Amino acid sequence: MIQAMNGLAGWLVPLFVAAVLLHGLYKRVDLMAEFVAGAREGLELSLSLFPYLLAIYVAVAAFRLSGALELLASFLSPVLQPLGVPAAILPLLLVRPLSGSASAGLVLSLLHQHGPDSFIGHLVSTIQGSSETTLYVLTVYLGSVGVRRSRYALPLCLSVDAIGYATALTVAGWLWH
Amino acid sequence: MLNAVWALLMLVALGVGGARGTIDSLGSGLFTQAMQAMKLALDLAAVTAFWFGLSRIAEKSGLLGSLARPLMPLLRRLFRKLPEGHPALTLMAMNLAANALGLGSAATPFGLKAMKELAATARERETASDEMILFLVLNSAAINLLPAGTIAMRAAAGSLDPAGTALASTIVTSVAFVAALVLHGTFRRLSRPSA
Repeated sequence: MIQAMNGLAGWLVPLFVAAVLLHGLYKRVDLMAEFVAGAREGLELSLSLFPYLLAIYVAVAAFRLSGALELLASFLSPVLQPLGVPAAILPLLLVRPLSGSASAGLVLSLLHQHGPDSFIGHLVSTIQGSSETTLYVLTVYLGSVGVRRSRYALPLCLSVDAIGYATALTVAGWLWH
Repeated sequence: MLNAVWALLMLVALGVGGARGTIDSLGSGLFTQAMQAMKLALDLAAVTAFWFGLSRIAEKSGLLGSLARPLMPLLRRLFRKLPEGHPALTLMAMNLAANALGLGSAATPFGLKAMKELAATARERETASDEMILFLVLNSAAINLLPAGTIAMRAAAGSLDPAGTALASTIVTSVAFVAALVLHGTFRRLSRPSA
């Protein structure tokens, strides 16, 4: 079952790329020019985000190398163990709603440290791939239309995030543990 | 907020390093880690650039628009206050479709325009309407079929199966989407009607 799904996932990206290109060709889009323009935008965005990524990547690495993460983990293990939350992903859960670049830096360093195809690697990928930078989205979207009173928007969105994280833990437990 | 988190991480790390005698390895480790971050970021930038390029083709060819169409009946049912054919409905559908394909760059402009349309129908200024909040929570719990950014990061980290968590993300976001609908109803009832 899992193998069949993995086989399917392998086809996902190539098929999607083919579909986009064929549809673009059929609609007479200037494929190369639009691709290059979009890619330039993506490259500029990545470069402008790099300093944030660097900041968080180095800070998390220092936190781990110094042994501070170990200390924190052993301190919190009575709470985390029963919930089935690996201590390694704790910083990600805290930062995910706050900052996209910070959580990307955390995910990258966790993938590197534990291996992308380990349980932790699969778990953080699932979390990252299924959640949003909630606080950022709320700030930008509501700010763009001048809303000051957000009413129940924040508690609602954060509750939904928490349900998402719990579901990610459960699903990752089924598939990869 | 993030400022405090970052400073705390760094200072606690250096403090613990000093106390536990791991400070030597930290000194050289910081620079090794910085170089590693750059290497990873370059790989990631390449994949992001590729995905942005593709996303632009999908937008210009109208592929995104045709993927948004099946969402319209659902949105009409969820946003009953909006008259049929209201521009906010189309914009929200485009936003959710782009999110589903991991094309975040294409999703944001549609989302912002949708908010503008929703704000125009709101009774009060400077206050989030139930419709705006529903769109926000649907957007942040948007069903994700192809988490492109995550696939890129997994590829950059040398995964043998970068897209291997796509299905798990789809399951999680589907659960979150339903939870968002249910909880929005609950929160809406609990909050006093905006006076």
